[in-house]
Amino acid sequence: MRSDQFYRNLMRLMSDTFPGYEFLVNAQSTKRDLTRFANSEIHQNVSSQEMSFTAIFMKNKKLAVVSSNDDSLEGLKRLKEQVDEIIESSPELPYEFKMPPLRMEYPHYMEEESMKDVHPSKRAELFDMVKSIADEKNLKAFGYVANTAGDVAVFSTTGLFLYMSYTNADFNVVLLNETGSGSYGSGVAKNFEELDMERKVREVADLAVKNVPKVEIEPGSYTVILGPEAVASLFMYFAFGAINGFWHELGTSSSVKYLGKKIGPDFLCFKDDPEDERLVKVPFDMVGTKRETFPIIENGVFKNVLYSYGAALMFGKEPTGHTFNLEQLDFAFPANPVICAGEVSKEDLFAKVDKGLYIHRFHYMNIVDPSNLVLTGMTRDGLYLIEKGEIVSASKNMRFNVPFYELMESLKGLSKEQETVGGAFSGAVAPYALFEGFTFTSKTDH
Amino acid sequence: MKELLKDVMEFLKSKGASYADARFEEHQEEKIEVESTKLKKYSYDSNRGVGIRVLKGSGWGFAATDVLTKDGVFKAAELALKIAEESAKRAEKLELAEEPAHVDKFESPVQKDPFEISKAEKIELLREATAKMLKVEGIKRARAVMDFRKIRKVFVSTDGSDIEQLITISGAGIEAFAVSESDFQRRSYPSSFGGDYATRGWEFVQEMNLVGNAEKVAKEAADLLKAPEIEPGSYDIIIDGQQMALQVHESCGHPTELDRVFGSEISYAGGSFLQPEKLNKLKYGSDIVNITADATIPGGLGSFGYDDEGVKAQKSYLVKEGLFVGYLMDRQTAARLGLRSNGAARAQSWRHIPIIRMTNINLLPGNKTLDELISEIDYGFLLATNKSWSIDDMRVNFQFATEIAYEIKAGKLTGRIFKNPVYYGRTTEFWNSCDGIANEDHWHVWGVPNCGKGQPGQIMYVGHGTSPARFRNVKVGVAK
Repeated sequence: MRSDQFYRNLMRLMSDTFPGYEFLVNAQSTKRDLTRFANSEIHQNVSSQEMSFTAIFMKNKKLAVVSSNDDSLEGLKRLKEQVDEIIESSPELPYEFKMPPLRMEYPHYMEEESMKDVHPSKRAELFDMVKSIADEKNLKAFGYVANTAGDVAVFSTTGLFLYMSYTNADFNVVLLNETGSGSYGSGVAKNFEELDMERKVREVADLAVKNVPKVEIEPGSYTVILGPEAVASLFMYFAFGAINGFWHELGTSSSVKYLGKKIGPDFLCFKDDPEDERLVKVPFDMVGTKRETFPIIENGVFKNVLYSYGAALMFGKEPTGHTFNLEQLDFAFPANPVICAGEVSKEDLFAKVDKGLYIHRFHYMNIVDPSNLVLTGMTRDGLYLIEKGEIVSASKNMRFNVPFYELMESLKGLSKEQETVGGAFSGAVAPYALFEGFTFTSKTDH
Repeated sequence: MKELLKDVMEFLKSKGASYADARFEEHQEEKIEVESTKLKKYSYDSNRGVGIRVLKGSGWGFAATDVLTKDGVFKAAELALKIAEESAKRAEKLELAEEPAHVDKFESPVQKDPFEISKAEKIELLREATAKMLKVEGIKRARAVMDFRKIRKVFVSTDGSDIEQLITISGAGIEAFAVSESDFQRRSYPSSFGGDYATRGWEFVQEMNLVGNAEKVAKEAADLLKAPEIEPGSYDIIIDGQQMALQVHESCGHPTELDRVFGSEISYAGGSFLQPEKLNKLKYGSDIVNITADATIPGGLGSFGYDDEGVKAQKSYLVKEGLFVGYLMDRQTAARLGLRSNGAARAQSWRHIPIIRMTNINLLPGNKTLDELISEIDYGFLLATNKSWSIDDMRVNFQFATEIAYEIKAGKLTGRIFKNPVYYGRTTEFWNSCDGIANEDHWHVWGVPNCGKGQPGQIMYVGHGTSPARFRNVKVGVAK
């Protein structure tokens, strides 16, 4: 972690080194430590630190994008040679590129003191906790626990300067029983305490013991409850495949057919919410746009797509605060995704199922047909049979193929309880969800 | 830098490390993207740093830094040592397979350095390709991309290895998008998701003839809008070389990674059905199926001189005459089977530890022409160019979608095409249904630049030598 002063100095150095250019810079410093375990042993333990920056330079309506981890004067001079050459060789842009406007805020100091310099023994202690819970139930433990400390600055020749420092902790765990099946959990939080790891690992252990696949089910349509991990994956693929404004404007997104339409029941809501305390807040994006709660699906209506900075300039829209890579100015993604809670308890949601399945999480999802957002993937780490609201046994994993929008029409309930699960950027918050008509198409061996 | 790294090795030995290695890497990358004749992005990235790996007792430690002063590198070494000592308290004894010390240099076979080609020439080629695609009625969007990398590596170890490598990578591809009110379809050339890649120079891009293929690609995309979908059922199919690369990647490459087999990837990428008791016993495929791991193929995207723990590049069989006979291994996992490493330990960059990765995983060519493969099908399809992929965590149940299917009737291509083709199956059943592989005239080493694995996540560039292959009675299409 550097400091806001470090980045101000870098800004001055770049101004001196790149005279005559307008620029926008996203600079960040990260130290990440990760301990990984398998078969209840630590097998990998790593630490990495780096300061790097990506910058857009503009001159004569031409752009160059460069990145480097060398902030020395010599390094910047070498980079300038590349910038000069790119600008000289490039044609003018087909649209007017403007640097983001002047904006200043007080620095966001969001780091936690306890997470700044974590000794490897801390992660080892958390591994000991996982192993102890696994040993109690004769399970093998697999997973990782990690801590990150970093800071981010966005600055430009227009006077924009924003800074945030942060820390976080994250983990995932798979506990396997003697049949080789088991369960999974993950989380991300500002510090190890808020990670709530022990509670989650105990829940994983309880489910892992039950995952002894005795029943073979056939491909077909089923009533299912998806756990928070599965719900989060489903909406992340929706986010990846259907809400990028750039693709929407070009007609190469399923949003063309569904934006503005009711795609699910009134209680369905999906938003990007930097104000949600359970997630690691991302207060501004990498072009400095202020991030605010942004509805994507509201009252069951597909309300908004996201406009990255580049897409907004190209298509005359307002940027929505979802640009996270200066090399991909047309790509937008929700950094703090939240699938809203429902009004029934998890127990009541299960009680609605006379006969059905509980899917704990998905594996290797992909988009089969982007035009209709048909998703495929496998179940993993727990496909359980529900009878009269209770988990009664487990099945081998199955492959599904589901059109996302048709699936949303079959949504029958969401739980009050939500979990913060690991994933892209800051993780995601998701409840349990009850669907009728979830289609499995083939079987596997385990 | 090399002398500093050697000093670090001496320091770590003096602190009780039973093994240590250090990699200095310097990466340069140039990416160009043209969208519908307009330059969308020209980017340049450079980064460098050092990664130090230490084995002390039974514990591994790794630390990476971009602070390349003597103080910065020694601090990273001390941190790696501290981490190894902590790991050792919670790990069982491990051994590394024997490997002689190597003092050597390696460079990718490059005729024309892509970084020496003018930027304007690269942009113009991509603009021309997209212009050709846009001329076809129905094409709303045309993309063309290039990607060039140069990676300089210096590797030293406490075993005495001292290796310098210069890997050059070139890649390019084009895509046409046809859009109607209710659908959109994409065709790509020569490969989807960024094109084809190799450890070669600018000559590799020139050989692709992007401009010459642009019109055909665009016409197919436009025609797909009007094409039907295949009626779900079981069919005899031929899979083109590019899609075969993904098939080999997912259903043979990943399950033969020995770290997956031993459980190291259970928490992320998954395990493998190819457990050690199946080695030399499992009939993985039909007798004509031969699959190798070969990092020595000149220009293959998974080719190098030495892997990232200093093991010399090799060729070995994974599947021979249909029998499962080998794994991808590093020094640690090979030792558990009493074997030598076959050089598959690779790291994305100086920031990452080496883990077992594919090199070039190849389905060796058969003895038929493509026309002969087609002529022996009464009714079926030729499926081409990957569109999506998915396989279960043990690598058994897979499902792939391709961009296009060409109808085959009475031993001939009819000229009729189908959109959104999907095929699925189970790995060993599928490979045992292979009854024809096209000969070496159709064989090409495809580059896959984006294989993900590991925690922290790593992206690796790997290769797959394949030619079109025929499979009988495969499930095509899914009920949605």
